Amino acid sequence: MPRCLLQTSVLAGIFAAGLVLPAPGQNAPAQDVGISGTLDKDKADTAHKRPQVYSPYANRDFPTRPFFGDTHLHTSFSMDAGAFGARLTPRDAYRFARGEQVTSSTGQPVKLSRPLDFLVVADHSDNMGFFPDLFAGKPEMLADPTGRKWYDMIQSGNGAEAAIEIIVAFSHNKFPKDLMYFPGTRAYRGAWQETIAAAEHYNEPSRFTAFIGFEWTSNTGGNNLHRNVIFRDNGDKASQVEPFTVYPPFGSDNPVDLWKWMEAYEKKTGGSVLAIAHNGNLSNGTMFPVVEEFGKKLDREYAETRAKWERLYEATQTKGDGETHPFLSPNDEFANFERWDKGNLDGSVAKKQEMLEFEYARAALKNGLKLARELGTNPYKFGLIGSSDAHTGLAAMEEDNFFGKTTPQEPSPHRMAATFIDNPKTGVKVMDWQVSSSGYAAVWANDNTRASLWDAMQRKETYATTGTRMIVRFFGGFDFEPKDAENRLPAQVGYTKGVPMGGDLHAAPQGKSPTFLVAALKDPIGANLDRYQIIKGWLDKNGTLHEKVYDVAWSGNRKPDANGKLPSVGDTVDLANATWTNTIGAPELITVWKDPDFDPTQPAFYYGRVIEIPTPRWTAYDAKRFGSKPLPGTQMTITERGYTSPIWYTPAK
Amino acid sequence: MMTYLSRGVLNWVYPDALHVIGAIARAVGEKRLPALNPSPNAFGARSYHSTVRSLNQLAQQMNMPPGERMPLSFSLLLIEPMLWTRFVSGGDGLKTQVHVSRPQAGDLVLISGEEVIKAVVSSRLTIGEAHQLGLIRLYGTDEQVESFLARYNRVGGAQQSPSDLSRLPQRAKLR
Repeated sequence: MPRCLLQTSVLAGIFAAGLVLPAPGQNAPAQDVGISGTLDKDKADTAHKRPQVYSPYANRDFPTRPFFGDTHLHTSFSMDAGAFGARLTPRDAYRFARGEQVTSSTGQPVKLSRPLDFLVVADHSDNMGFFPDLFAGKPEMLADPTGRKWYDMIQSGNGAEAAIEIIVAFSHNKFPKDLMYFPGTRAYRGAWQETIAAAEHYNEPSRFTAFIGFEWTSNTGGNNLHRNVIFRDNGDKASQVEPFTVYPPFGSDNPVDLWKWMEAYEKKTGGSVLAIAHNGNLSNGTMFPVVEEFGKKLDREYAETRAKWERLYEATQTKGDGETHPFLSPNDEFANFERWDKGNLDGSVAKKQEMLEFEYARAALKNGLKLARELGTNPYKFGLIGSSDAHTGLAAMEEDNFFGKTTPQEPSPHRMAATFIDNPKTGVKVMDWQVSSSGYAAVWANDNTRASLWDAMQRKETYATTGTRMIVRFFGGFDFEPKDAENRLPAQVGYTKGVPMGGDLHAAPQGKSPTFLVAALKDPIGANLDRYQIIKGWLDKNGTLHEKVYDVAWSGNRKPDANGKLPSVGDTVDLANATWTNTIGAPELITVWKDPDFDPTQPAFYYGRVIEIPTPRWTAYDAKRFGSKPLPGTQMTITERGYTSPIWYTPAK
Repeated sequence: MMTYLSRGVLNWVYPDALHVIGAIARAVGEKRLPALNPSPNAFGARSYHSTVRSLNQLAQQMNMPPGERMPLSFSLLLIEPMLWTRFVSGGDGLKTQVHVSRPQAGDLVLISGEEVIKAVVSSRLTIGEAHQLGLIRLYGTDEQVESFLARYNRVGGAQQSPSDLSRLPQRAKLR
């Protein structure tokens, strides 16, 4: 098995440049290659004919660094976030993400270890802005008898009861029509315009990108089918529309209607939008249907439309990890990770094992191959990102700086022992300690602008992380050789001889198998790396789906056993002091791997998974900080990780 | 989840009420308040009784000696279990009504935490210090707040009643 380890820390710095910078004389039209996601030999040849210059960094035109951000953050403008006590506004959220210190809604000063590069404030579109307006006693609110009643309840000290009435009315579709913040109302327009204004104010091209966006919140039956919608455009276009909602008469809970809205937006404005499906682990088997959705049988149109609009999938976030599940991937020793598999979003329906296949990324990628054979298009050909879904206005997803999912879950001596979801009828119970300090989206873009980042998302040149800022490269082609992994500047080789993550390989040349140039570099202030794995899924001629995890690069001199299993990297975590040492693992991993089981007639996908050595989980930092004793069963360590977008192989027809 | 909503909405009804969570977190982190033994429930039967005992002790400590002015009525919310308690002023001093559904209209409202009250009744923290540290937040008219602090500022400094507190030496720092 090919593997390569470069452990020297001095070299790590050089390698960092290798991950992000091209080699001498590198001048391939990589942007063309990258954007198309398909290797074009003519373009690559043309690139080699360009005159070479001394500076290895001159004329480079492919993404040279990943930009880290959050595509899914709520503020007080989201009805539930407001009800949970969030007071921070979209403006506060952007300021924080840019690296400023702010005061959280529980009065705690907070700052990121490093600024993020971009942020999407994605407040729920239904009733956006309702909560701050109610408590401010806005005239529109008080003109309605129920609004007046709620306001008076608040003023007379019965605010908690008012809030519960509001949430219950909302969730049972009994919300007073005249109080709904519907698109078209002055109040709703005001909230949306303020959302846009905040993004416009803090968007600073080449330094920090403040995307305009919202979350469409389909939640029928408690099953989470949310989507985050991200605009490529500035406020001039985004302000021509108001977000698509769920509640009638203007909204719908069917994703097909969201896609129609997206189509209409582009047609009306000439702009561009994409949608990112929410982590499906709380959809109870409805996020990735294979037969029908909302009573309609899946067909080619469904597949094409979904593939067109839903370019990315949120593989990890605070409500757990969605890459795969031990039930689906019993041979994957890393599958049991930050699981939330008790029920749906509100805990009203308990999970059944047969649901799992239709709510995890790897299973969807596999089923997509099958649907492509049946329907002619793969509806689940998505790239991967992680994001927070925090409802605090704070994209604070570092283990030692975790500000929770909701405001009451901000740091406190109590949060490790508190119960988040508890439905005695269904037995669905989720403790606060199970909330995951995850994740971020990494985007390989040419520049830190709305257009450049959005284009990279559109071509799926992205990867998910669970909060770490490791740097991960993943190139596929048919001509990578072991010596390519010895190049200190692998990106140029990768873009020249292959396609990046999110790309496609077609029709293997006679006698050739896919080869992958993979490289990963640790987070500069994070943990060393344990291993780089490639996960392959494929469809055989009998229509049976398969998956396999390959260890392709790892730290140290470990040898796989007779079954091919690589020994554990070890564990240096000092729980009492909530720390660890980088005395195990490696700062960087790089290799070229060739698929040993390739069959050119079988459609397949490959994606990279990079695992860090064990480190303290946020619960360990809390235990140390507050001196509190965790409840039995509390997970105290974590193996942070990154998931690249796949590269798909499609056989010749 | 409903507890979270009840707690969350406090931040709007009583602006920044949840800052008391941050203040408690800071105080525990700095060892000003003791670490807690977490329980998966808001409080088990034993800790509920312990909390009620603390509340009753607080009422006792706030009682004035005979002849002094009548104590003030107010409502106190303990943030962790979302437990409302009314401290009712009557002929025989302050009495607690634990686990009421809400504060009475016009009441001065105190937002605090269980460990804060325990620290006060065990003379490790005065109400004034707790207020200064953000461990007790007060919501009412300016007059109510001033009157409350004037009367009870030093409760928790020792076992004496407020009328005796003026004769006590200032405490150097929190323990």
